[in-house]
Formats: sequence, structure tokens, C-alpha cells
Amino acid sequence: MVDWLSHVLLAWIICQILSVKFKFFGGRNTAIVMIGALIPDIIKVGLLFRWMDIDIWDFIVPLHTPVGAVISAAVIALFFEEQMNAFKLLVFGMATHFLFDLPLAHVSGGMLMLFPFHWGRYQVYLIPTDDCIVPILASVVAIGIYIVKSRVRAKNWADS
Amino acid sequence: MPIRINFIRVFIGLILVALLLCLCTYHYTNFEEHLEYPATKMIQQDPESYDGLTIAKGGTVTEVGESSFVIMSMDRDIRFDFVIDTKEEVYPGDVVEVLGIFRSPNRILPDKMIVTPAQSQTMVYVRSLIGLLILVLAFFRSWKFDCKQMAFIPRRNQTNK
Repeated sequence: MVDWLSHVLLAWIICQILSVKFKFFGGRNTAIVMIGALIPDIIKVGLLFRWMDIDIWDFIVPLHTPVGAVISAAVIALFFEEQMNAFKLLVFGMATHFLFDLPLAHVSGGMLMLFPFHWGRYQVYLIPTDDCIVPILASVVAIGIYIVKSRVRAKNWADS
Repeated sequence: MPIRINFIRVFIGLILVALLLCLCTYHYTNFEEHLEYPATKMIQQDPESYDGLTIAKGGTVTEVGESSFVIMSMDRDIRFDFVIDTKEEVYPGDVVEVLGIFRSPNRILPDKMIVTPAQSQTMVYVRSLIGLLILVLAFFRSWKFDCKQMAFIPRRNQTNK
């Protein structure tokens, strides 16, 4: 799996870039996209069960499919005031999750991207699951953006 | 009026959860027909019939020998030990994914293998924990939970700019 640090930071970076043009992705909405970026990994609750010697993996696999994750996002969106906006942001975050999980290397198989309509498994097999370059790069870029944003904000505040 | 809104939310929520459960049940009852390679449970029940076939398995290294090592694979509460015939250097606790030819009763001659060292696996969990912490901090900096509305609402000092 791509670790959660990478997923969260990559979602944040994408939102910061998009918010330059689309204000919808900026401010407090970024946090909702970051939540969405972890929605498909609700499946990781299976690791807790495995730790208790119970294997529920084959039952909860649909949570890590686009259709399952969209339904999960809809459930979570119900806990927001502006549900439709929250849903859109969660689904966007969820899409970033699949985008960054797609290049993970396994010996076979992949993600059920079209489940329940098709059982084909899709994966690009590029990055090892324990890769540490992605989180390091994401952290460096995120810190860079954060510093630039802070300076711009400080300059704007000084000018006004 | 608020009671009605809550009722609609609960109703929609229940429908969505039911839909999710249907999806999970559909997968659980049908996935064996769509497996690329046989499941551990199928191999354990009749290893002879899978002799010579390509299988893909994953598991944790439990024993290491000179020219082989053992991985423990788990499949729906069934634990099964596979002996992997290779001189690849692994250590107990490492996580291994292997694709290869199955030899009854429990040997695999690997064609492709991915080894994730135990320490590296632990680091993935540590990084994930840091990610979760950042997410919780970032989220609750902008949002708070309102028990009356049973919903997350923006904090007053936060604007969406």
C-alpha cells in the first residue's frame, strides 16, 4: 500500500495547486479532500481483524473499489452541513487515492476498478509497496508549498 | 423540521450502508469464480489437483532454510504453510508475494517474487500513523462536530479562501 502520509500529502498538494484557479479546493475544503484520499483504505480495518486471527478481507474488498468508495463517501458526506459539496470533495480525494495506488507493484492481480460490473484487475506494477521515495518527495514538495504560501500571505498582510 | 431532516439523513444513510453490505456480500459469494489463481483454501483441500499449476501467494516468512523458506498464508481463517524453493535472502517476519509453479503438497518454485522486509513494513505503518495525525490536525483545525446537528460544521475563524 502507499502509506497514508503520501496519500494525505499528495491530496493536499493537488488541492493547493488547484486552489490557485479554483477556490473550491482551498481553505477548509482541502481537509475534506484529504479525508477522501483515505476513504478506500477503510479496507485496512481488515488488518485489525487479521491481527485478531479473523480474515474478513474477501468480504470487505469492495470498499477498495471506486463504486464501494463512492458509497462510503456518500455515507461520510451525510455528516456534513453542505452534503453535496462534501460529497464532491470526498470523491475527488478518493480519485487521488486510486490514482496513486495504481502504480503499486505486486506479483499479480490489481484493483477491481470496474467492480461490480466487471471483475478485471488493474495495476501498473511500478512502485514497491514499501517505497519511501514517494513520501519523502511528497513531504519536500508539501513543505515547499507551505513555505511559499506563508510568505505570500505574510507579504499580502504587510502590504495591506 | 430538524427531526424530519435527521430522519431523511438516517434513512439515506441506512440505504447506503445496506447497498455497501450488498456489494460486499456479492463479492464474498462470487469472488472464487473470478480468481486469477486458486485460493489457499482450494489448494489446502486438494493439493494434488493443483500440482504443476501457476499460483500466486502472499504471506509472512516463518522459517528460513538454506535453499528454501516457509511463508504462512492466511485465507478466510485458514492458515497454510508454503515452502518457497529459492536461495533469496529473507528473514522471519518479512512479507513475501510469490508467483510460481505449485508442487504438491505445499512447495512453490518461484518465477516472480517481491520481498518486503519486516522493518520496511513497520515503517509503512509508522508513516501511515503520521499521515493520520496530520489529517486529524488539519481537519479539526477547520471543522468541528456539532452534536445538535450531528454534523461537521466549519469553525468560525475559518473562511474558505
